[in-house]
Amino acid sequence: MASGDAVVQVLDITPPAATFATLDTRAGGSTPAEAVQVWDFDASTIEYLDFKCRLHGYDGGGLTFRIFWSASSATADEARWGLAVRRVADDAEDIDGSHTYDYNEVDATAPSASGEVDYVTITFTDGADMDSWADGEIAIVRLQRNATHANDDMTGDAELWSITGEET
Amino acid sequence: MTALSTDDIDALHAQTMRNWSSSHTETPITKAQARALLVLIDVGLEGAESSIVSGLPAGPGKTWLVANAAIGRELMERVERRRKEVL
Repeated sequence: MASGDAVVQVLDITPPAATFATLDTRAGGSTPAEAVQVWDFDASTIEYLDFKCRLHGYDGGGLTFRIFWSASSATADEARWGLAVRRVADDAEDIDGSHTYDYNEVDATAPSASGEVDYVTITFTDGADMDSWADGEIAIVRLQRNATHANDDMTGDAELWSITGEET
Repeated sequence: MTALSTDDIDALHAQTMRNWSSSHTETPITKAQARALLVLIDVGLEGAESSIVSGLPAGPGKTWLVANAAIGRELMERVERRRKEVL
């Protein structure tokens, strides 16, 4: 497939067993009001969310994930997002074993109004950077807000709307 | 009367940000600035509490509150809450 094609299929979304982002809804201003499903990432504690994904039609060009998020209350400053991959290859990766997630991170500036959405990207080069995830395989893609990092200076929750993944 | 500990301020900081998040209160300041505000307010309140009690006219009430800071703080909190409700 070509650059820009949506090669990452999100199969499901699951909070990990601890320090997970919490499911919430953000009320819109329409009548009837939208109830936008979001995942809240805390400002003081690093929290995580797991996406079970399949790579489909991938041609080795690396991956670009797009993160769509808003701030619960902040109108300035930065949240630091991180993404990492745990490849689950056929008859090879035992999920019972521990995996050290190696995050690629980005500092994302909050939109100027807390109800607005910011678009930010995190890229992976093909190979070890994405845990050698290959076409046709599934993986756990783990998202974190690195809230204790010095660059994460944004007050309040970061609300994840969605992520997508495409070939770079 | 003593100022809040670092752990208390940390917990208050986290709780305050959660409250702002829940209410979508727009906050154009950094986490560090929010925490600094809490520290300054705590220090200010410490001084204000002492000033209020020391400014009371001499008598059994003042003596009681000087010896029982927690009671003095409770009374001030009640008055402050009521003022917030009606003023």
